[in-house]
Amino acid sequence: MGMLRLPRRYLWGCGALFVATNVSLYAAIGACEERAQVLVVGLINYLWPALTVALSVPILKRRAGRALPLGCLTAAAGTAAAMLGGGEMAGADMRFWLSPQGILAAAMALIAALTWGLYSNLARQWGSPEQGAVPLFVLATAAGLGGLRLLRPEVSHWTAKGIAELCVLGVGSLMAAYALWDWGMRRGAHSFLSLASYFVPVASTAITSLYLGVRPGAHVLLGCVLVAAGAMISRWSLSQAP
Amino acid sequence: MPGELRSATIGGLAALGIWALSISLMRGMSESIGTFTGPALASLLAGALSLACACAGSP
Repeated sequence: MGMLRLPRRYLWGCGALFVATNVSLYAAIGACEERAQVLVVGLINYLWPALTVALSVPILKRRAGRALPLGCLTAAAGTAAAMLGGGEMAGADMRFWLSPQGILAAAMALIAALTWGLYSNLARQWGSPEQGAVPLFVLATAAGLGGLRLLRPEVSHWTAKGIAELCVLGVGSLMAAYALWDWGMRRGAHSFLSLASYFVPVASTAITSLYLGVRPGAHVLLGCVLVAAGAMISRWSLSQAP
Repeated sequence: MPGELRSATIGGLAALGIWALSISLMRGMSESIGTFTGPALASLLAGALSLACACAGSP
């Protein structure tokens, strides 16, 4: 168990941030009353690429150009546009986001983005380039979520679809995707993959809309484009440092 | 593009695709198994398998 020999501040600090990110995101998604609101929560969560770049300035002492605030504002404007809604549903959308449950959902998604931005920088600063402790962090996440399950009992319906989703999320997203991404970034076309990662908010919105059977309004599509553009401008600002 | 470079790049793209799917899976699971129960079990499964792989691969 070489992982346990990693620096303590990495294990405890980054571990706490990893758990906070996942718990906040699950709580945010669960707090949405309607499936369409999940698209907005997803976009708020995708503020993390811009926040990662912004936080790398004080944490990793990276130098950024003047475009960084513009990138962050563009991404934030994207989430605002998605939340404000459009057309006939604008009033209903705003009523939800101003309700205690809506504020909770948005705040949790924002905490997820912020803690992942912090994790991404601090893991680089405190961790080891050769080895991480993601499996331990994932287990700690399971313990945290299990604790919340005990505090807030919920009724489970064990449908075949639900079990399949559980397996795909566990094995695919939490396990295989990390390994594939790590392999891709180390041995694959790094620049191409970095560029492709900016389109994840767009792909996620499209896939979520199809999977959940909701039609994203023009405001969500605009938000999606602005969040992706904000992340790209933020990253570009690093190469424009004076 | 050499073989491993291409395979690793496709692997990275697959990871992005899986992550793009995650939000919808989280919501689907939240509606059936529960907001915390489903993710807790998914994390337990992923953590246990990852740890087993890491232990199997370590000298």
